[in-house]
Amino acid sequence: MSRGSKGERSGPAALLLAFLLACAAAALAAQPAAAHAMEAEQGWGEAVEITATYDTGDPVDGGQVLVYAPGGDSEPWATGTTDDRGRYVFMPDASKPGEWEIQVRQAGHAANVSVEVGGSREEPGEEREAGDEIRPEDTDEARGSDTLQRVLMGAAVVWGFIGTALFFAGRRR
Amino acid sequence: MHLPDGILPVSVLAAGYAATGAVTWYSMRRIGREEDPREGIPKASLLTAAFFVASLIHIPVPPTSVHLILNGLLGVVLGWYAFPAVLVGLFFQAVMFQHGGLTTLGVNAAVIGGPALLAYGIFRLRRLRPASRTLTGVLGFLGGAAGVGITVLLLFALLITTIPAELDAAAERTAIYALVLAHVPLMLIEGVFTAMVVLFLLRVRPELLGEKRRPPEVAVR
Repeated sequence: MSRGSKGERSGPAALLLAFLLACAAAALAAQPAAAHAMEAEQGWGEAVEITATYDTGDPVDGGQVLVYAPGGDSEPWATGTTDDRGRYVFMPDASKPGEWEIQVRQAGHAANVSVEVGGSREEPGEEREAGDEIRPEDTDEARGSDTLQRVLMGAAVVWGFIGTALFFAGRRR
Repeated sequence: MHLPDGILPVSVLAAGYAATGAVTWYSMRRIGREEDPREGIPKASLLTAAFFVASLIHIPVPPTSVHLILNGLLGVVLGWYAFPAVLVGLFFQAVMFQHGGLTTLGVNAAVIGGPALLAYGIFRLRRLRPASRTLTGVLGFLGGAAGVGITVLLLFALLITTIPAELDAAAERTAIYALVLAHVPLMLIEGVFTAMVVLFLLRVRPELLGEKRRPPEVAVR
């Protein structure tokens, strides 16, 4: 019984000690934090999202992105990497209006996009295929008709080759 | 695997055009020296069509996918016609599909057409035993595989040595290694495909393969 009462008496003391220790630890922990006081400001602006896909439809995972500000600077304004969905987001400097050039590269594949920043309208974001190809800067509204168009163009070229073959095969006889 | 515009330095682009110009000129000379240079055109034209379309056929090689090149096949079947065929095919791919680019046409033609001629050189070893189906098949496989293999090696050397300073070189190198490895199965696929095509031609139209066997004095006109 006496052991029990002793235990009860030591209970509050242990709690007090624990409390003091916790305070000391908190104070110590707070010290370095205070030395690195941080502030965050928030601001809003328009960002540009790039989505790069291969011509098979697969996203360009880990493609390297080079962002060039207008003005012909050969050094990239920003560099980054696309995520596993092929996306990369950056916020252009609104004080540099004009054509921002973005290039996505991966192992000999590349896609170039240009985004108009400033002025009346800002393009929300553009999609370019990175397969082996760069497409003209302002054609990809309708993906469906695009595919059909490409198939037709391809068929026309193939027919040209076949026609050439038939022409020369005919001459031979 | 065609290099697009805007990733190679201008000096490399110029060198590519110079090499392609020289090889095209030489190929034309060799074609012009043949008995009837027009005779090969139908065959060359049809295979150019196949080459043009082949780059749209993707073969999944996890985690990526590669497309057929068929330059080995062109070299094996067309001989000296292969280089102009590759050049014309690449031109239409660049113009129609933006596959590759016009500034890189020279580099691409050299990198794809050169190995095609090499595949032709390999396949010409057939002269040793023209009647042997086994030798024809094996050389067809080697030619088809070498076409892809040498092209990929050339591209690898080109890409590794021209990584621009503003890129993360380590990450880019990793991506290039992955791309090269993904082409190993393609080598096998194109080798087997080329072997199948030449064995088929050997059976149905053997005169389409290689040199004319009739001596000139027999050809009475």
